[in-house]
Amino acid sequence: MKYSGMAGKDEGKQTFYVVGKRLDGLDEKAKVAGSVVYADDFTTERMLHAKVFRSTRASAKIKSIDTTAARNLPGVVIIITAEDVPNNRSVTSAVGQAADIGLVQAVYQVVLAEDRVRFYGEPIALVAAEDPDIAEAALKLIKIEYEDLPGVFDPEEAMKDDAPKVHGDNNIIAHWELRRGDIDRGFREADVIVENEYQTQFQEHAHIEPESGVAWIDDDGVLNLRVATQVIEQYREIAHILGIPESKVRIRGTLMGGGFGGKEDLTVEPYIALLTWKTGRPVKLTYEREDMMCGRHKRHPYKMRYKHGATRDGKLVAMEATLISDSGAYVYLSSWVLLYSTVHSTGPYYIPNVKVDSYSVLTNNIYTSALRGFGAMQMAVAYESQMDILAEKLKMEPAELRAKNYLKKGSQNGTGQAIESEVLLPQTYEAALKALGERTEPKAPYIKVGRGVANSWQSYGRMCYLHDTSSAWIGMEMDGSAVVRCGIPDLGGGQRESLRQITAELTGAPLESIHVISTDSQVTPLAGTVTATRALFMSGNAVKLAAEAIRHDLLQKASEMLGEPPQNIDLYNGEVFVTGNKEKKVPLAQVVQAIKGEGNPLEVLKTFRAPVAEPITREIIEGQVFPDFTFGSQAVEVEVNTLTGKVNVTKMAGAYDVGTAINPKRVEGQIEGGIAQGLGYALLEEFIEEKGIPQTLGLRTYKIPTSKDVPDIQSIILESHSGKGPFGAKGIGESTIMATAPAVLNAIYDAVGVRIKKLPATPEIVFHHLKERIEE
Amino acid sequence: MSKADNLFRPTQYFRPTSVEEAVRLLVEYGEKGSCIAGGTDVLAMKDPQIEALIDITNLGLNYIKSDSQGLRIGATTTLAEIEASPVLSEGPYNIIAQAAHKVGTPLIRNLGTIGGNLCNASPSADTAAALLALGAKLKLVSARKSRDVPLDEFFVGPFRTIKGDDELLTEIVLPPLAPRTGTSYQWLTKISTIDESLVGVAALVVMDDKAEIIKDARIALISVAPTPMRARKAEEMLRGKAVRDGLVEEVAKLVADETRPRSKPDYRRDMSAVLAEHTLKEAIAQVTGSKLQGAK
Amino acid sequence: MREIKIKVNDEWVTGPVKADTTLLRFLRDNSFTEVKKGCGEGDCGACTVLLDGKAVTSCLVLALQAEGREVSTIKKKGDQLLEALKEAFVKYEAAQCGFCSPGMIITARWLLSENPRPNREGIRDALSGNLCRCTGYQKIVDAIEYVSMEAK
Repeated sequence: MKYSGMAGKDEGKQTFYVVGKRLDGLDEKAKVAGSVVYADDFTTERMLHAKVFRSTRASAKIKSIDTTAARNLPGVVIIITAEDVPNNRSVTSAVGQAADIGLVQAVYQVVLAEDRVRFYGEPIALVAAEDPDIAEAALKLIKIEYEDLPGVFDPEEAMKDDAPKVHGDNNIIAHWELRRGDIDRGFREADVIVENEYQTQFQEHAHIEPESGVAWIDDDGVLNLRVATQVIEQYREIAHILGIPESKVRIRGTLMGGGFGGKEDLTVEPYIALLTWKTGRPVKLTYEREDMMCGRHKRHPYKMRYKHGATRDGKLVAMEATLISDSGAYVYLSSWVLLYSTVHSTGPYYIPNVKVDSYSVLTNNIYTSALRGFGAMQMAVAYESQMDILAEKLKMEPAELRAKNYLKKGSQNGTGQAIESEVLLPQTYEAALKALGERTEPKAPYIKVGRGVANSWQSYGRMCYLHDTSSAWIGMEMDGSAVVRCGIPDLGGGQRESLRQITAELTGAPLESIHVISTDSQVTPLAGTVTATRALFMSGNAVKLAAEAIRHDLLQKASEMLGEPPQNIDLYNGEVFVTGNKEKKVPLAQVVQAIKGEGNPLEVLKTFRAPVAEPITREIIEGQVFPDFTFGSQAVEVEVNTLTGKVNVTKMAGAYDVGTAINPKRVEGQIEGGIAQGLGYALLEEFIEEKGIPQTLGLRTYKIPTSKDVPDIQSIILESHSGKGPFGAKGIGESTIMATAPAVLNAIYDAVGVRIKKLPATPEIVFHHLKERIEE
Repeated sequence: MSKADNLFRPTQYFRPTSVEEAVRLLVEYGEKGSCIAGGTDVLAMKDPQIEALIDITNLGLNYIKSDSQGLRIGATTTLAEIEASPVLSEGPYNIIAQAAHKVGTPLIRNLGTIGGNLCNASPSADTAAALLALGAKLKLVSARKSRDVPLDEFFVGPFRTIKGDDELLTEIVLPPLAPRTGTSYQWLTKISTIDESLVGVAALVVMDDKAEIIKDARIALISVAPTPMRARKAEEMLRGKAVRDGLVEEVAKLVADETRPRSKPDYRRDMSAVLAEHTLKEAIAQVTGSKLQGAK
Repeated sequence: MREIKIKVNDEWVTGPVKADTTLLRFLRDNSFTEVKKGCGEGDCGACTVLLDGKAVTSCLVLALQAEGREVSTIKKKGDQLLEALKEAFVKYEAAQCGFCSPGMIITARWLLSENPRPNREGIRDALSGNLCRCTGYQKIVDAIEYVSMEAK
């Protein structure tokens, strides 16, 4: 594997000892030992327990709220409503993140509902009590009077002038456009046109660990929050809400039991912060599953109207699309999710004439925000269905049509951004399909077997105009061990372990001796969010910069000690040796001591800066939006029971170009986990609301895939080494969920000739389509 | 905390060691008392009325006994024990094991009991379908008497039975099997593989000595009506009939017509017919030995 | 309120409980925080422990029902098969976020006590009450299969 040395000096490393290996992680060992202290596992003295009192209406005025009986319950310490919150308006966007662009409004959310509730589950009051059972009982004693207001529950309805307004005077809170070439001319050139509407549903993160955190005030008067969060920079927002200096809020993130974007916005932080600030006592808040279902955001449902034009020989010449997303009752990240959707709406294909208009619309449904895929995922359902439909109309193989249109390194996407890395889609498509092996024999005449393949592309790294940075600090110890300080939170995808591996590779410190302190906003250099598939790209590069600087000093000193030029020396597992003559070596500790003895503390703080671009100033998205993209494919085999409509997935495979796999085991884990979550999206999962009232309030009615729903999955890793991450890596975290649903839909079509355009593809829907087709 | 807060907060727990003691507690607490065995329904349903939990797992009601008089299953036999029982592993009684295996998850089945599954009286209680098809009777014991109630009469509405607050279900009794009996239980789940049944059909047929005529038929369904039910008109259509092509398909349509599903009615009716067809064919095939088209 | 004793990982643990205190709550309040609460309703399996050797969701067991009985969590010592499972989970990367792992490994331990050589379908059957959102179950099944084949 060649080291492409993207950021920083190219040390000309030829052999890799740690990076690229299937090494066991220290964090994993702690997890199976049961010794990780997740957020709810932490307790401290005099700790109170909090609960959230939530709205049971989707759209209503709060006429009155009486907390007297609740406050008088023995053991209840405090009840807080909106009037007790110093700054009840919290802005979703961080500094430099938002601007009012055309229709885009960086609208606030309220910490606690004031005179109005806009969705079922909206927080209205907080209770803190000596015991969680008492807090739960107190919730039941809060008396509230509502006056129902008209609500709106469908985004297209909400776009109408006479629709009830959720905020202000316009329910459309964001509008983006893609404009390339001349759309009319493009369609005139087309020999074949395919036009369809696709619909996707609310999806829930359903991480197994509930949102949770404990807040307390430390000896220095600093508000500490030990909380499961993907964004420790939220301390700024907490400070704003409380009206205290940002330097007085410290967030210590925990190892999370899954996030998927569900722990990205503020969760329990404002509530425990307020309760602790007001009582002076530590407060713990852990959500029940019902809190999670009705109180936390979901993935945006989309309606996508797509129209593709292609020439007879299979060249895409035109694509027109209208995208409408349900923003729910509050904006949160809806406008950015919409931006991702718009940019990714073309799929990984070169299309000369593009016209896309996208809208995100407020409703009184549950609010929507980040979930793995962040708006790019829904698009794959549309563009990959369209490609198969087009292929059939053109009488071409699905692979063949796609091959004629793939983006390549150097070609421009729908915003005019040139792709800077390799696009291995022809290879990933083929590898995924091949991995399915022999076609399964149908078990009965009424069972039909089909196969489908789909591609996806997904950006990694945040939008370039955000000027994203990530910092890391490494210090070598006298005995050759090392400490890494990096703010990056760890969702469970091995974010921390990757940093350990990179440090071990470049500094030569033994892997187990490297201690990573992470996710503490006042102790670890801020590394940014674990979102947008940026963790490895950003914090990996930051750690790499720091490790390279240390490596440089180590090699210089070792060169003196060994009498060899630095380029002939390497470091591994506590030893510094001459490559090609491993007997000529010196312990790493000795080198470190020599360096420190000369007044070089061998501690380095580095900041990695992502590529930057001009801010987006108008609704037409143009130019470089993202640093780069990850490309990959999934293949799926299904059995369709034509008597019942039930779709059973028999085989799955995912092939991705990850640039460089820092640890292949972990990459496979991302592929397998993403595919399973995608299977749920395709066939099982739907958060259902009727006129804004949730019908699925727990895991008994919102079904995520079990071990019986997911078959064996083949993971195939391709490495182009062309990514912008450390050692040529690309990000992978979100990519792997995207292509499953369209692959399943394509497979259903292959099996029974029925084209499902609405997710999830439930047995009733498939059965209904089959019945209709028979009746035709 | 008062019951006004609408929370499930029982304050008493008892673990009686005899049926008499258990029944006495049920009398004492009336509607404020609830039996608890595996706890998987009681602790999930969270009925705020309950003040006293009466643990009935120590009354010796955990057994499966088969003899010439038939089959007797103790009420607190766990679903795991039922699915693994050698007594139920073969033959017509096997649908009880299949139905038990369908309930919940392996973890739930290590706790949940067959008596609990019946007394919870969910319209989609899988064991009810199998037991209705087999003609089960329930033994209900109170302080003053004990009575044997046909399972057909037990369910009166969703989550409601004729069992009084002062009665304890001790045993499920099945009559001895007639010769040439065949059974089958099949289901579709609501969403994922591990899920409540959307439709469940259990079929039992008894054939004549030439295995040509259906002497008796029982067709039980769950999740298609307010309670587990029998498709009696369809059963009547089968009795005395010789097996011929098309018979089962016709009867399956009748089965669908007898269902009264509230949600997704069209799909549930269609699937009732599909499963009725499959289970009847499989039940007949068990006796005739031939592979009828369509058996699962 | 009443004090009860439950044997957890071979040691007697004493603590006060109410009638409705669950075994899950008893364990977590008495420092056994390796037993996780994911839903409290028996749907996710994160709270799985062995109760007299059988894998159960501790959120649906009353502490009083477990009085005087034996409970094993993932921290139980001296169980070779349990240790082998933990090692395999690390080797096969069967734990990503790790939140479902304590329950998952306990269920696997129970499976192997009932069926020492399950096939992959048997493994998937046994795990069907333990939800995982991170791994897609692939490496979990791989790890358990490996242990079942290696164990004597």
